[in-house]
Amino acid sequence: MKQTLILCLVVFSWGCQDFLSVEIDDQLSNEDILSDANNANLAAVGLYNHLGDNSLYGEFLIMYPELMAGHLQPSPDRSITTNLIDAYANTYQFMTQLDESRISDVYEVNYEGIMSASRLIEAVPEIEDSRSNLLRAIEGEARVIRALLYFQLLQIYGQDYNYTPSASHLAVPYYDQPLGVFERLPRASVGEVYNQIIEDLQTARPLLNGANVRAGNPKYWARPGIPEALLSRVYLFQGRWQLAIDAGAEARNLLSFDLLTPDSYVENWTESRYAEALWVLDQSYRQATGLNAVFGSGDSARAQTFIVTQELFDSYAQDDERRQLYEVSESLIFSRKYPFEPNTTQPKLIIRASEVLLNQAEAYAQLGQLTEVENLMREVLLQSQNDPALPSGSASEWLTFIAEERAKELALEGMAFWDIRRRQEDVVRNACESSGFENCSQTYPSDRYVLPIPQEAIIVNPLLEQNPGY
Amino acid sequence: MIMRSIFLWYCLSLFLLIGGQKVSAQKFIQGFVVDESGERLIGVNVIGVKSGNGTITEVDGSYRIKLPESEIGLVFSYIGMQRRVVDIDDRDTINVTLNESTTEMKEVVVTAYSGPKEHRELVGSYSQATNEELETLRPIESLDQMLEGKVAGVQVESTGGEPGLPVKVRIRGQGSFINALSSDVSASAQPLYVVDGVPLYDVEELNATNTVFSDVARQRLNPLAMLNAEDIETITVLKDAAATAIYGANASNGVILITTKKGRQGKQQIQFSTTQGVSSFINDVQLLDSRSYVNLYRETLFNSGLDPSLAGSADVNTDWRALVRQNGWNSNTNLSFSGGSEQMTYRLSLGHFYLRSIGKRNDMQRYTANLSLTQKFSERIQLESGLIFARMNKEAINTFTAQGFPPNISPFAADGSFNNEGFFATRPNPLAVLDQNENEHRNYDVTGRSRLLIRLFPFLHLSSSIGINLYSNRQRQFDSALNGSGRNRNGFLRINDVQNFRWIWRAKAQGSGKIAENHHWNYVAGTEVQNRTNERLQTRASNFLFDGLREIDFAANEDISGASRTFRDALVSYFGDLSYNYDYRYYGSISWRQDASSLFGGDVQRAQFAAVGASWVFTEESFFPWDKLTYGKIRSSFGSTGNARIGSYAASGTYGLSTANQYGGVLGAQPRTAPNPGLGWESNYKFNLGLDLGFLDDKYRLTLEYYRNTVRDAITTIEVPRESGFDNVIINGGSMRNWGYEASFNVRGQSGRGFRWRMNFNLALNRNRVLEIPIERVSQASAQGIVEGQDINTLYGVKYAGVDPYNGQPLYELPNGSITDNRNEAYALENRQPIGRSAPLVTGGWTTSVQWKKWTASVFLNFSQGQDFLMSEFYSSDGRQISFLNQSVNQLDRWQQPGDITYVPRLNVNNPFHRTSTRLLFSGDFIEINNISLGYQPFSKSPFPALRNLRCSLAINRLGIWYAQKSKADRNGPAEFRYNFPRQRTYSFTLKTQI
Repeated sequence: MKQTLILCLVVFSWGCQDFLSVEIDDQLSNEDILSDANNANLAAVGLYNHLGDNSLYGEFLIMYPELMAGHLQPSPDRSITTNLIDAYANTYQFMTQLDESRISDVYEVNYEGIMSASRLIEAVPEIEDSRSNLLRAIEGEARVIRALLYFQLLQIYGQDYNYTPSASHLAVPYYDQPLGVFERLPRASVGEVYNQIIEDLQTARPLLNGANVRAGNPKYWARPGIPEALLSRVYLFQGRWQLAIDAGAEARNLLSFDLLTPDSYVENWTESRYAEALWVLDQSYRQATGLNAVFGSGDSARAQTFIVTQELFDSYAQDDERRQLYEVSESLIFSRKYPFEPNTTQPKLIIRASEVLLNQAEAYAQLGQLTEVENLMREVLLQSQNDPALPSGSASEWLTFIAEERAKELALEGMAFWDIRRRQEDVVRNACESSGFENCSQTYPSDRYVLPIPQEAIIVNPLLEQNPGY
Repeated sequence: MIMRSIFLWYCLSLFLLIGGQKVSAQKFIQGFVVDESGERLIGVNVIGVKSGNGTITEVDGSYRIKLPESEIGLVFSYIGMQRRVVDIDDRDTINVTLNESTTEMKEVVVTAYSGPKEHRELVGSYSQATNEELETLRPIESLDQMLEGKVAGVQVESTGGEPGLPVKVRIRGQGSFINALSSDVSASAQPLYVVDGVPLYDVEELNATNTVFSDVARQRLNPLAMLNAEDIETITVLKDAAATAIYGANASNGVILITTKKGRQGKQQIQFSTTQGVSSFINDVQLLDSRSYVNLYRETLFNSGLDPSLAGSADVNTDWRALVRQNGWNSNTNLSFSGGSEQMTYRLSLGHFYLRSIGKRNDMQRYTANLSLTQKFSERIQLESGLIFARMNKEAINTFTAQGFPPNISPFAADGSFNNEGFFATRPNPLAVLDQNENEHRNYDVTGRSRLLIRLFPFLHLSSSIGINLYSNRQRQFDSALNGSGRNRNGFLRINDVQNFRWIWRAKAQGSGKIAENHHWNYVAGTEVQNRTNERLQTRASNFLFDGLREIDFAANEDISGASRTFRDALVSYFGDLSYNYDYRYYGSISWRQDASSLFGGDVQRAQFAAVGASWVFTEESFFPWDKLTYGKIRSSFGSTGNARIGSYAASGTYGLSTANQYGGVLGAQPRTAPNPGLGWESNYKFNLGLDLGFLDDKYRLTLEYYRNTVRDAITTIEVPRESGFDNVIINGGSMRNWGYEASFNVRGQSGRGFRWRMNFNLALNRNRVLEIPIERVSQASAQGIVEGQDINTLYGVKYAGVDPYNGQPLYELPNGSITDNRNEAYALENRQPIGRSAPLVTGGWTTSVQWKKWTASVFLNFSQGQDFLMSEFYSSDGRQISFLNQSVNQLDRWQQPGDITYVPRLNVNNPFHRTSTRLLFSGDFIEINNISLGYQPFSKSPFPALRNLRCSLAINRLGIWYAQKSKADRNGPAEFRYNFPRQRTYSFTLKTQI
C-alpha cells in the first residue's frame, strides 16, 4: 500500500515523456557515431577489428588462396569430417556451390567493412573538432581499409587485371558514398575498381602524414608508408612495373622495419616478433585459437583437419631456415608461422617488407633491370640463408626464380593463389590428387579462378550478373 | 534483490496474519449434505450468511460449524451443484440436499481487467480450464504443457525432450510472421502470460543476436516451468478481440490468464499430495549396430575410392545411448494450508518437484512457495496480496549428440581412462563430459502482487495494484581441459547471469448499475505503467592452471573477459471497457486501450487498440419455443490488438559497442542494425463469431466459433542488397490472415447411485494465408518461407523421386513434373515447391472421466492432423557423415547394384545432404493416449480424516501414440523420427489427502 502510494507519486511527478525515453547503453546511434571525434574513432577501431573477421583475415583470406595454390590441404584421412572441412571441401575442388553459407558470407562481410569505411569517409570531414589530426587519420585509415577490402574482393570475384586487354571484365559493385539500404548497383569492371583503389590509397597518403595518433604497437595501424606499400602490390597486380617499383621505394623510406637474419628468422615467427612486418592485424581480443589450432604447430592433440602439403615443405632447401618453420609430426606437416597456444590468436600479416622487396624485384625483372633484381633478391634471401643460390641468367629465369621464392617466402600468408592468377598460370596440386579429391588442376584461363557471386546477393540485387560458368 | 523482495513480502504477510486472528463462538450447527441420489457430498462449503464463518463437509457428508448467536442462515455451495441458502430458524441440525446445477453458465470466468464474470455476460471468446480439468496427476514440467489438447485452438508444441526449455504455444495459429531465415527478426509469437495480474517474462522477445548474449552462449529456460501446477486455480485463454483488446500492444497472439489458488473462508484445510513416477523412452530411432555400421562404412569408402580399412573394426559395440541415458524418475510433493475468517483468508502452499531426466545430468529440481492473503478491513476496504516464489536448479550438460556416435568406438582407452584420441580428438567424449564438465542453471522467480480495493459505491470501486516479477537466472558452464570440449582453451568457464525485473502499477475504477428497469451497465477504466529492466552479465575465463581450479579469478587476468548489458523498456497505458445489457438478453461491450512504448522511436510511439462486441441470449426471449435448449447465445466481436514484442531498440540504426570489437587494446564500435525510424506496432484485427448452446439443463454444452484474424503492418525482416553492408532491415510490411473454426462439447452426466460422468471434446481448424509480403523469402536450409498467397506454415523444398536403379544416384522431381538427376537444378531456389505444412490444420482433444463411488477413472486423448515434419538429415546422410555419425537402420536399404529399387542412394562420402527434401518429410498426423488414470479412495470409512480423505491414483502418461503414416518393419518412420529427443512414457502414482 505504502509502496503503491510512493509509486503513484513517483510516476506522476516523472511525466510520461521522460519515462518512455530509455537510454541505450551498449549501442550508439548512427548520428552519434558520425558527429563526434571520439565516437568516430570507436567506429574506426571497429573497422580494423572487422578485418579480423573469419570471412576476412581471420580465416578465409588465408585458407582460400593457400588451399587453391596447393600449400594447404584438407586432411588426407578422408574419414575426418568437421564443419571447417565441409565448408571448404567444394571450394577446394573448384566446385563452390552458389549457396554455401561460409563461402557466401565473404561477399557480405567485405561490404560490411566497405560500408562502415564509406560512412566514415563521408562524415569525418564534416566533424568540427580541434583534433583535426585524429580526424584526418581516421579518414585516411578508412580509405586504406576500403582499398584493401576492394582489392580482396577483386581477387575473389573478378578475374586478374589482364584477363581482358582493357580490364573491362566484371568485378564487384563499387561505391564511394554510403549506400542506402535498398539501393542496387551493378558490378563495375575490374579496371574501374582498380582505379578507385588507387585513388583511395593516393588520397590516404597526405591524410596519414600528420602526427601519429595511435598508441601502442604502431604496426597494428595504417600509418605513413602503408598506402605506398599497398600501392606497390596493386601496381604489380596491374603490371604497371615502374609504378610498383616507385611505390615500393617510397614505402621503404617511410616505414621502419628490420630485415631478418638466418639466426632470428624462425624466432621472428614463433615468438611473434614480426620485425620486418609493415602492417599486422591485431587479433588478441579473440578468445580463441583460430587458424593456429587448424594447421599451426605445437598442439599435441590437435584436430587434424587441414595440414601443410608435402609439396610446399619439399620446396625448401635443407639449409633454408624457412624449412624450420614447419613441424613434421607423424608424417603430417604443421606450420610454425601459426604456433598453437590456447586462447590466443596471433596477429595476421597484411603486408611486410619482404613482399615489398619481392614486388620491386619482380617489377625490375619485368623491365630487364637485373642488377637491381639481384640486389633485392639477395636482400630477401639473406634473411633465411647465409649463402643463397641466385640465378645468373636471363630475365625470364629470374622471373621464374622470383615466383618460386615469393611462394616460399610468403607461404600461408594468403597471397599464393592471387599470385598464380596474376601470372596467368595453371593450378597443379599433387597432394590434392593423391588424397582422392576431384578437380585438382585448372588451366588458365578458367572460370573457376573466381568464386560465384553468392546466390543470396543476386536474389536481393538482380542487377548483379553471375560469373560465367556458375 | 531477491532476498529483499522476499523479506518485504514475508513481513507484510506476517503482519496480516497476526492482525487477522479474531475469534468468537456461540453456537454449533451440524448436519449432512447429500445430492439428489442421496449420495453424501464431501467438501461442500458451508458458510454463515452474516458471520462468514465456514467449514466444509467431511467424507461422510457431515459438517459441524461454530456460529455466532446472531447468525441467521447458512450457504451451501459445491462445484457442479446449485448453491443453496438455508435459514437457521433456531435449529441445531440442518440436513441439506443439493441439486446438480447447470453450473458452468453460472460459473465465473476470469476476465482481463473487469474481474470474474458469469459465463452469460461474456461477449468475447474465453476458454477456461480449472485445475481439476487440467489433471495435475501427470508430471508437469511447465504449465503450458497442461493446455495441450484441452482448449480448442491452443496448440502446444514442445521443442525437445530436455526439461525446462521453452515450449511453443500458439493460439489460433501463427500470429506473427515466422523467421524464415536465421537472420530474420519478427515479433514474438508467444501469447502473453499474466499470472494474477502480473505479466510474465517472455524469453522469446529479447533479440540479442550477434552479441555475447545471444543464445549461442546461453540457454533460455521456460519461465512457466517456475510455476507449480498444484497452485493453479484456473487458466483462461483469451482468444478474440473483445477479450484481449484491453491488453493492447501485446495481446496479438492471445492472452493466457493464470490465477493461483486463494484461501477460502472457513475451517483451516491442510492438503497434502505426492506423486512419484518413472519414465522410459518410447519410439527411439533405431541406429545401426557395430557390424552393420562397419559394413556400410566400408561400402561407403569403397564406393568413394578410399581405403575401406579406414572404417575400423566391428570388435567394439558401444551403446552410446545406454551410456548417456538413465531411467527417469519424477517426484512432486505439495503441502498447503488454507482457510480464513471473515476478516482474512489465507493460503500457503509449498511444493517440491524433482525430475531425474532421462538424459544424464539434465536433472531439474524446483522448490515453490505460494502465499496469498486477503484482508478485509471493512465491508468497503480490502487488501489482497500474494507472493509466489520459486527456485529451480537444472543441469544442462548436452550429450544428446553422443547418441549418434559410431558404435565401433570405445569411450575408454586401453588403460581404462577416457578415450580422447582419434575420433575424440575433434569432439568431446560424452562420458568425459558427463564426468568432468559442469553446466548448471540456478533460477529464481518471484512474483509479488498487492491490490487495495475500495468499494465506495456499487458504481464506483477503486483499486490500485502493484505487481513485481523478478526472474533471475545464472548459468554456470565449465568445459574441462581434460576432454575435447575445453582442450583448445585449456579449460573454459562461462557464467551467464540474467536478471529480469518488471514492475507494473495499475489504478482502475470500476462499477455497475442500472438505468430504469432493464438497462444494466458496467464499466472499468484505468491506467497502467510498466517498466522492465533486463540486466545481463557474462564472465568468461580460460586457460586454467589445472582442472580442479574452477573459479573466474583462478585464471590469469589476460584470460578473463566479461560483458554486461542493461536493456530497459517502459510502457504507459490507458484502458477502458464499457458493457451494457438489456434485460440480460442483449449484451454489448466496447473496450479501448492506448499504449505508449519506449521500444519504438519517432512518431509511432503511441498506438490505440479497440474492440466492440455484442451478444444475444436468445433463449431468454419469451418467444423462444424449445425448452430442451436451456441456454443459447450468439456473440460476435471485432477489434484490433497489437504486438510490440520485438525486443529493445530494434528500430534504431545503431553501432554496437562490444569488447569483441576491440582492436589494439582500444574499444571499437561496429554497425549493428540498419535504421528504420518508421518501425511500429504490428496490428492484429480480429473478428469472432460464436454460438454457445446448452441442452437439458446445460448438461450438454456446445460452443462453436469462427474467427478471422488479420495481421497488418506485420513486423518482418526484408533482405537488402548485400552491398549495403547489411543482410536485412526490420520493417512493418506484409499482412497475413488466420482463420478457422473451433468447437467444444462438454457433457456433465449423472445417474443415481453416485455415478458421474464428464466429457470434453474440442476440435479446432486453423488456416492461414500470407496476404502481402514485400519480398518473398524462402529459406534454403529450414524449408520455411513467406510467400504471398500461401500458408505461412508451408514448407518449401525439393521433391525426391527415389534412386536411379541403373546407377544409384538420387533423382528429383521438378515443379513441372520432369525428373532430373541434376541436384543444382532441383535445389535452385526457383524450383523450390510446397512440400508440406509445418503446423497442424486440425488439433483437438477428448477427455472423459467417470466417478463411481470410491472410484474415478479418466482418459485423455489428443490428436493432430495436417502437420508434416522434416527429420534431421544427419541420420540419413548416405555416407557423407558416416565417418562420425551412426546412421538410421533405413540406410541398410541403400542402392548396391543396378536394378535395385530403393530410396537410399549409393553410399559415397561426397553425397550431398537431402535437406528440405520430401525424402526427409513425414506426416505428423497422430492420435495419442496422452494420459489415463485410475483413482480409488481406500479408507472412506476410517475415523481418521487423513485416512478417510486419502485418494490414491495411478496414471500413465503417453501410453500410446498412433501415426497415420506407419513405419516399415525394422525401419524408422514418423514415430521414431518425430522428436529429436524421444518422448517418454511415465507411470506415476499419487497420494492425496486433506484434513
